[in-house]
Amino acid sequence: MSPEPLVNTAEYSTPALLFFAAGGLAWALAYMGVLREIVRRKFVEIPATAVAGNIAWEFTWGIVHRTDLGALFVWGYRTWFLLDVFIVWGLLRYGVRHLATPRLRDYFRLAVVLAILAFTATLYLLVRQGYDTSTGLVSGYMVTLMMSALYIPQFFRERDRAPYSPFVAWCKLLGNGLVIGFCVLVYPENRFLLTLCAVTLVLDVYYVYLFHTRRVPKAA
Amino acid sequence: MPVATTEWFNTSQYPATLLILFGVGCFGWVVAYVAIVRNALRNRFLEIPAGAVVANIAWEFVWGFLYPNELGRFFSWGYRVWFFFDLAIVYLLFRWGARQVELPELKAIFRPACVFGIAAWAVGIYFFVGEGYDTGYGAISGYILNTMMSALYVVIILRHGQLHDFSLLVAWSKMLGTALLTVFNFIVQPHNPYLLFLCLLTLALDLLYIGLFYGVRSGRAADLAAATREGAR
Repeated sequence: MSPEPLVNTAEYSTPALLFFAAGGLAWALAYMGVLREIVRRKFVEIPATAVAGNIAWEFTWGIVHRTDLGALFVWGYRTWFLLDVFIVWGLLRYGVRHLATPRLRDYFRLAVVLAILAFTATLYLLVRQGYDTSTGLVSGYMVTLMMSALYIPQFFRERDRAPYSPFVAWCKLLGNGLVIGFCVLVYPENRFLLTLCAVTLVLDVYYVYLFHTRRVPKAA
Repeated sequence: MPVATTEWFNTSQYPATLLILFGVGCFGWVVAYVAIVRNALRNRFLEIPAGAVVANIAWEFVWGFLYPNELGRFFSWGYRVWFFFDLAIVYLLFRWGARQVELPELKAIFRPACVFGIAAWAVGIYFFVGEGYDTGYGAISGYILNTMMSALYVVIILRHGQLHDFSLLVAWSKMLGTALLTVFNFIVQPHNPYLLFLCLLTLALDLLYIGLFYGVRSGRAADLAAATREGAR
């Protein structure tokens, strides 16, 4: 068996790999931006359901299954997973603050743990059933679309929108946009995946628009 | 891609008893839809979560009109009946659905968001089936929706909390309807653990919802719902 290449240029073109790498880097920066707010303000801006979906995807694709993009990307997925472990820790520690009701706090952590387990099993079986690409992007964009959709109502619901980070909003949009570039180049025939990409992009652009128009409430 | 059949009931591939099981499960959902519409007209509140309505109508449109049903033409017509019931629900969604959200900012974008949701789900499901990810009768896309709907029902009953706006008949008929379809899937698709896991997850969420319903009604979980409502403001 030949050793795994650092970057799989045999199956993927250099521009496609650059799109993916740049998008992956933007996502790593977005995660760092989220972590920064967790440390500075004890605030987790990613919706709880999306955090559960993300860590499940990263566990499935970083640890259990292996992308065929090359060793560099395998470790990239694992870096996402590691960063997300800290985000999950932040969610379990500070996420209950979003609920503002003592009674629900009793169930929040249990619900997060159960959601992570349910997402992990679902994604693992989805991949095992052969519904995903060898890079994990079908399941990845299912989770990302859900996150992009959930960001909008959560942003509206939050009384204090100041802790939401413009850096994260832009990195998320840029990261998704660049990986979508990869999808367009590598999977032009997979119209389901491209639909997921398009809907995610629309939601991300709308979130950035919302962010810049409504982050600071209008003066009465 | 699903294979077209000219038979009303595809008994060459599916035993009659299984088709009856599937038909009874579908009927459970018709009961749920009728009860949802009746309660919405009475309460002027649509209990089925908006996120589920937009996905359901899209699924029924795609599977009722755009793809053939491997189980037979009778079931394509069954999906179309769902679709027409769901049209009434979509109408009620546009009329009173915004009451599911409390913030004025969310109410303002509610209708455009629903239109976007229906279009996005319809295109997504159409291509999901076209890529060959689904079974010949729409079980996988259907259960992705069902799992989401069952999860949203748990959230909406806790957030809204006014039990008189929710129906126990809907809770039971959707659980039983889905459970019968789950049994069908366990028999017909035993080698698809992804689908079977979605089935079990949906069942667990449906049972949790029924448990919560009784809990809120008996007062044991009433403070939980009240607390959620308070927290949502």
